[in-house]
Amino acid sequence: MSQDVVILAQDAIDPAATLNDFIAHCTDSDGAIVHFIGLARGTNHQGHPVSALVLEHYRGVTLASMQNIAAAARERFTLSQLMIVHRTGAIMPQEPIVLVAAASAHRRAAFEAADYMMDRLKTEAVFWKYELHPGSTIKHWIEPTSRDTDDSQRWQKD
Amino acid sequence: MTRHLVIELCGRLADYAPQQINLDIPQAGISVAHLKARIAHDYPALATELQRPGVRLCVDETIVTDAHIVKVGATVAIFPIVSGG
Repeated sequence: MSQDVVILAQDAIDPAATLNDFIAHCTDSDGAIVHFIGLARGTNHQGHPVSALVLEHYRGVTLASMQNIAAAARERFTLSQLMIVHRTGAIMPQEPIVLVAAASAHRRAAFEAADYMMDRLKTEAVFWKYELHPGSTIKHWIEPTSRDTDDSQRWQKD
Repeated sequence: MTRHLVIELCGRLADYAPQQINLDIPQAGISVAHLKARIAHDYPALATELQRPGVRLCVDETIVTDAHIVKVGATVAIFPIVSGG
């Protein structure tokens, strides 16, 4: 029986193992699986090298914010199952930050659900994140961009 | 009579004061609005940050309004605007 998975991961995400587990729970009614993996970049938007991306969370509030987004996707799209796995803590360049997946009978719902979950995670998930640059301990805090906000708000027009 | 309240500062707020700050509050509790004013007074470096958009108070893992009364023994944190995932 399929069930939604929402995980706040303290340790590195293994995308292959995580996806294999998701696929193993699909049913013979599923005709589509869409997944997205967000990676930590080694260079930021300004071209500065990044030695680590650090995410902070708060108690059960962060996981609850992710669960709320998953529940909203479940309500909005016809899915058989969905998954959100999101890191917290220090993440090295090229390591996965987040993995979302959606399975449905037809591809449109799966594509849109994955897109929806990522847009909402980018602006509403309760994380605070900062970059560390090589040779420095200064925290460069990150806030949602206008692009992130626009991407999330477009779902409100439907 | 006052009682001791511990407040956790999340995200960038902890750059301006200790991550956990302590305040004595009335036994009957204190509104969020007054709590923020007290914090700004006792920790002036936080004053500007507390007025930035998106700053919220979390009491016992629930976001609350300025009118909420924080009671002694509550678990309190101040959230700056979230970075998102």
